Amino acid sequence: MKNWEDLLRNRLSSFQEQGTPGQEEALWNAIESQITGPSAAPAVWKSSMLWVGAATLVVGLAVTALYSTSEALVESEATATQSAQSSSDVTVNTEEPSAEMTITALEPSADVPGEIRSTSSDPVATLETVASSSEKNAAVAPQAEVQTVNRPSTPDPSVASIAANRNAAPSEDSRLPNASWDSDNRTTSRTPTSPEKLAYSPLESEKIAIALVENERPQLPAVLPLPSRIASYALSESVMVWHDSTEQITPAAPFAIRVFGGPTASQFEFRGDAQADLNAYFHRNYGVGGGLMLEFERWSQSFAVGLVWNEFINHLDYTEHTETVVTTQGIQSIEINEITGDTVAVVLGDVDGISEQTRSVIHHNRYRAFAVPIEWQHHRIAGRWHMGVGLGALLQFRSDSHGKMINPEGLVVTYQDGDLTTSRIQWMTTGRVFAGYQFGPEWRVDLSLGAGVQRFNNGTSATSSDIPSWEGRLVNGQLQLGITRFFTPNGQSRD
Amino acid sequence: MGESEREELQWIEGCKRGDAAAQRHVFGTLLPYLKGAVRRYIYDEDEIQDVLQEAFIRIFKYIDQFDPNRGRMRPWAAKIAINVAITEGKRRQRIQELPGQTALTVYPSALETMALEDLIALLKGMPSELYEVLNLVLVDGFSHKETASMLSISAELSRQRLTRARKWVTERFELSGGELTPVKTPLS
Repeated sequence: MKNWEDLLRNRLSSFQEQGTPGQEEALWNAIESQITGPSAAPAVWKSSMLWVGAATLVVGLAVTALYSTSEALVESEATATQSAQSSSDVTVNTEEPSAEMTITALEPSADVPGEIRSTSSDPVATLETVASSSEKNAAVAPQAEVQTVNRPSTPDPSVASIAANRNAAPSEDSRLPNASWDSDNRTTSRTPTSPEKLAYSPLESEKIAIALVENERPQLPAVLPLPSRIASYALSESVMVWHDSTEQITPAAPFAIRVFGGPTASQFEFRGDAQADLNAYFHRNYGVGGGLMLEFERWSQSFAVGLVWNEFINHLDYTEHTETVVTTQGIQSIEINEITGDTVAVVLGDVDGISEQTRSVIHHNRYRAFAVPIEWQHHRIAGRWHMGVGLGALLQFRSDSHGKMINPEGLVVTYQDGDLTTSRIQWMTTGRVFAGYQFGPEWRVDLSLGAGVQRFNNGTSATSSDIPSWEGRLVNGQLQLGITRFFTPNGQSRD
Repeated sequence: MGESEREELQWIEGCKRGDAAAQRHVFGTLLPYLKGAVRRYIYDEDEIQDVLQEAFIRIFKYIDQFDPNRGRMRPWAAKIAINVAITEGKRRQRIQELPGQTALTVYPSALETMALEDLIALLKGMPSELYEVLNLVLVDGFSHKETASMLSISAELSRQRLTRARKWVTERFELSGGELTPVKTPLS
């Protein structure tokens, strides 16, 4: 069994009709007279001009390339000479141990109050020292900027002299009083503001940070991010600003509840090529949506689940044309005398005509659903600013959907919720980016932009045979304004 | 790329250079196909010759725009010829009725076995506006948008006409579910 459309297409499209030789020659002569002569010469001329132009371009490029190459040769020679000179300079500098460089790096942060210094190169010792010093630091300078670096102790006399010269700089003098408050066998840790000047091990630095956090944890406010990210976050300014040693502060919060809402945007499109040209009639439109989500941490990752309600709206803008054959009584023919112009006879009878109707349809198609969002999140913290991405899916339960659709005949039909597929459960893959501002230890406001794609098919027509089956998808977006409240592990909030 | 495609490209390059021998060769190769394509739209022999002449002039005039990477020469040329047949035919009576077409009898599996000329003649029995859309969209592969542009109608109307043309064919040939089935009774 073959599809009749394929068969018809194959037979008709391969239809050939051989002409008679005389007809073919006559036809060719007629064509040749119009395509030769005036058109052939310009074609050759145009082709020649293109070749000449191309040749000129190539020659020009070659000359330019040769010229620039010779210049480059001269320049490279000069550069080689200079680099030979500068490399000797570099050699002298690199012979200096890193201690000298460390001192250089200290200068920019000389005005940091309450800084802690160390000369120990032992990571363990450094950790302990930092821990103990941070206690004092917390008491004396709550808003100190704490930064860490390991500096190897290299008692090289030449370096010491260079260091002494550097210490004589005015900026260093202004730093000295601050540094002297705990000068007794304090070691420590200074802060590299320029990574290229101070090389340090990220692993050790992380250990130091973790140790610092462990030491300070009881005094941290209840804020996100979650514990695994507290190491970097603890060093941020926002933590130090809220640091208050006189207040009883609960440990970091492991979960939060976010309430959000905002406009949604949605657009319908058919999948596949068969109905792709109908996509132009479906346009994006806007609805609303909102809900709440529980954000928590598991397996050192951030997740969120919740309950939301969304309404996605797209609109159909279509002009429907219909033609119907109508038969009426009318004049079928009139016989006229050619000489006199007189009407000889008028024949009346059934006359066929085509009646054409045009109907413009603009209709909003709605899809409403309760959904359970499941999301994996990745956060970044910069001071009080919080940003990140979330990837996941929405398990949707369709509560209602209705609208208008174009059937294969090009006519607009109305569908109701009952006409759609009986399964009301639908997955929608989602992704969103968000940015938030933490305006209190337990509060954050955020703005997020999300997008998702879901299938919107109608495989069966339950109530009406006029409703076509289709395979399509909804491309949805949502702008969310949310507010998040962080909670402590025992369920008590901190106000 | 096959041997025939390479050979076709050489002839096309000759046409682009204005080589008369290449043009004559391409003309002779394409003529049967284009005549067959135009025949589906125009029945009158004189008008077919006029349309073919105009179509070949356009083909050789715009052969620089032919891109071998997008397909073979034949469908490209056929589209030009059909376009000429449709647009030029607007000034004339496009589809001529074939005398005695209603007397044709449809046998079982007629779509497969009927002589092509008879099949075309039978299909021309449907209203001309439906027949044009059926050919343009279903046979020649024009989109509804292109068809609408050629026929100066809307794309929606083109879609609707195709549906009606399909219905006409299935009723005449007693087709069901898109499949060929034996015809029980001859078409009267």
